[in-house]
Amino acid sequence: MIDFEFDFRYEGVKTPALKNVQGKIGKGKCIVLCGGSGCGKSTLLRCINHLVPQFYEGELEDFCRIQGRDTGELSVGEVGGLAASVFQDPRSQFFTINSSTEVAFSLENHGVSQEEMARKVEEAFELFSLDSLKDRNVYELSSGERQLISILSAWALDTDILLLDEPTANLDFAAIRQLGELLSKLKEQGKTLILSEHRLYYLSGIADEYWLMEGGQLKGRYTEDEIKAMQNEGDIPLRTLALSDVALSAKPPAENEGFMPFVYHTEDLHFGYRKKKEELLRGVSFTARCGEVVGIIGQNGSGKTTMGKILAGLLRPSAGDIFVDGKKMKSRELQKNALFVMQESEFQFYTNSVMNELRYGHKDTPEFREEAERLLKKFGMWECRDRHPFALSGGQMQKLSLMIAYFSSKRVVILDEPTAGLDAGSLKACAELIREMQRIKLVFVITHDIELIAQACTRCICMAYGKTEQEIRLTDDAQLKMVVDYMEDNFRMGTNVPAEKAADRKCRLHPAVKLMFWLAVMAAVSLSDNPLLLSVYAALVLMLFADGWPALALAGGGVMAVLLGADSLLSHTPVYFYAAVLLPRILAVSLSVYPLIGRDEASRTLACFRAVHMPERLIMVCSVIFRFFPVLSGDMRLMRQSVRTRGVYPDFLQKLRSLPEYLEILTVPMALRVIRIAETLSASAETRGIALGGKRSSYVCLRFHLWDLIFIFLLIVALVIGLIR
Amino acid sequence: MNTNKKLKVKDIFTVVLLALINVVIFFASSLLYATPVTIMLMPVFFSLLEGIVFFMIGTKVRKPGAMMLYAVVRGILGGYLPYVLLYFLSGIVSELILRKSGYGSAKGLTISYILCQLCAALGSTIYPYVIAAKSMADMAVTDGRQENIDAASRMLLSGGWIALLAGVVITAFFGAMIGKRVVKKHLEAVGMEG
Repeated sequence: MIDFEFDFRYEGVKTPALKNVQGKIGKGKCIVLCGGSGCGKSTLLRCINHLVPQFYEGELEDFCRIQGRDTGELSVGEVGGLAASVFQDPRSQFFTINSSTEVAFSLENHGVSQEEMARKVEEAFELFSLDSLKDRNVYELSSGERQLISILSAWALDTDILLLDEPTANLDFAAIRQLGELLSKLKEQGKTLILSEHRLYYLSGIADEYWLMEGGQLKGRYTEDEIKAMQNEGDIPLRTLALSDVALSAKPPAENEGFMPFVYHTEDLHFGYRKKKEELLRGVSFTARCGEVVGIIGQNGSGKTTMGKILAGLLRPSAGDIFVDGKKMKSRELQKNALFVMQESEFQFYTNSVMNELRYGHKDTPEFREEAERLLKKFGMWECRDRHPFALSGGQMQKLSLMIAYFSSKRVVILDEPTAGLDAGSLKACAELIREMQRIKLVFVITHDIELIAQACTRCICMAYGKTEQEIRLTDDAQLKMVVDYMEDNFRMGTNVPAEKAADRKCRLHPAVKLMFWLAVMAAVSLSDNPLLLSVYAALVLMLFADGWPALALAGGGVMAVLLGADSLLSHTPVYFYAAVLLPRILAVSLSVYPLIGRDEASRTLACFRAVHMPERLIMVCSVIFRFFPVLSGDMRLMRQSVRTRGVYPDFLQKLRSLPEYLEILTVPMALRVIRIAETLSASAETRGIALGGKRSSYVCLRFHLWDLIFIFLLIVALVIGLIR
Repeated sequence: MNTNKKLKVKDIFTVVLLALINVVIFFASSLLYATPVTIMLMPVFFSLLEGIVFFMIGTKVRKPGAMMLYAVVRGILGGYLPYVLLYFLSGIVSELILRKSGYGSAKGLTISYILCQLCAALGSTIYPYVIAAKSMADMAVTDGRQENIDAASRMLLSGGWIALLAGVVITAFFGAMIGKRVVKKHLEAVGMEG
């Protein structure tokens, strides 16, 4: 089925990424590519799906045949029609906002008819018992649920081969279990699966062979029993193959070295996000001491990260208090005491080298330099001390984040999923770094990783339903087993608040009508004609009501009514220009955009673009904008939290004084991250056939109704009235 | 230098996503719309801010069409027709400048950036004030407040716009310098330059 032989070197890199890697994989087999970071697993998958050399450029020799076809003669999209790919970060590989349209995305690119797409999408959700994920806004899904959607999307194309690149890198415990079940079903269907993975325990009983890679070479092919035996003898540095084999190696709470011991106590913490009806935290209380490493575990959506941010003073609880050594602390004071290390480590790097990053905010004393050198050498980072943090591997980035935390003057460190996507070596190094921190700080670790808990945590707090349900002190393997049992018994997928499904929401108007309103608003705001603007605005408010946006319509209509009512009051004030002319225009533009891209209307708007034969490249641009605009807004919020937690600028005046540097800190990490996202997203899109030519249909079915005609008529009337007046 | 290469899917995504950062900054700073004085200062403020992303795009995607695409995205998401058209114009001019100076050239990018910010200032601030003045004058005919409005519009249009454009040129120059420095410090250090 697949037959290959590769030698490959990335452009501008001296060392080859793959050296004489050859293999044959038969139909229905499940092959797991394993080995440390940078061993060539992902590169091998990229060679098979032909992203190398068409997307990732370099010197490729030899061949690859899939079902007898030489991939060298095919485009990436065409190879995607033979072997579908799933990437590690579901956040950056999605193209649309709706889960069903996402599953249909590759079908659209391959020119499948609308009826066939509808059938296939329906079948995908049904077959894998994932009906609850159908027609959902992908923002409401957890990482695990998104990864399942990306697998359904790959399945829908009906290829015999699936290539999965570290599919569990960003998944929690329950999601990994469900992914395992899904892979079993695919194997039963006779699909050939090739996975590159660090986490291996969930593949027990699914994998036929483990291919061990090292330094770009294939070291050997092993069955599960063989690789287990090798691991037991300590021959290979892989992550655990069975959760039952994980043994406790964490140290008991440390005696503090030279630091004043302190006690951190939370009392009845409550918190709820504005958009959600129910509280996320409903009375969290616990006590922790300096020298402890406290694992915070809980199923997805249980409020672990939110609680971590409250502990670090980044979020303010709606009720309850936090005490340090008996003294009640405000959020600002907590920020001075605690550092929150985000899962997305890139947000926390501000300088252009590893050494500068450690030095940032410190006095460059000989003692500091000595300690930095010791730590960098101990964790194998000394050689890359002058390297840009964004040029590091995932494992190295995590180690750098932990070193920053170690050198921080703050006494409390909260780590959010510090080992996501790490290999065995990096995980061990991270656990060791946490133990180094344990000597001088109180460390909270938010994690699902049982191997990390075993290696680093002294206690686990189990969270459920917004409360601390149980505390388990980790002193021997029996207690570690209690943690594993707790996770297995209590962690479930699909716990996100069931959202309103797109299908349940009656979208009353055709996107073309809404586009007409938007164009009319654009024209009206650009002219000096206030009566025209007012009449179009009135029609727009009615359209918003009819299209299912009553709150927006009321708010827009209300603000405009107030502005008109206050006209004579404002006429002698300096804000008159603004209130009478500019503000109505800003309002009108904002209101007209919302029904086009709000909720998950973007999918319908894009389908409308396709229906009017807009060039596919332009549709692609629009879909990137619609999809990523909210994501980037969220990233900006994370950036601000990162600046606050590192305590870079304690007050507004300092921000102002260092404005260029502040701008750089806010913009550069995000821009570098965006460049990475663009690469992943386009790789995913290429394998799903975005660059293929030919006629396409949209999955979303659009029809004109009587209401559409009525609103077109209303818009014309509004324009005529406005122009006559 | 890849002057003869077409934009690939990856390039399009990179430009669009980077452009969105400037759009996010634009929306995040929309509080500046709160008063007439801060509205007038918006173009000056953005000229200082947007250089980093502009230079990153120019350095990362050294191909014809990248700056035009940036201008299209940035303009359309401004949501105001004169602004959109002037951004399109700035995109065309930038393409011509970079074609002459070489894609990725710091000099070409600096000139393009200053022109781009000038166009944005014309479209986002100066033109709306012109139409604001006209709208006011139209309304005043019916409600008898013509004198006050004329005085206000005279004040705004008499020379304020020249000062504003001069401010934009100066801050855009500094914005470009920041962008250039950041690209050298970060993008080249990571090895992400095009």
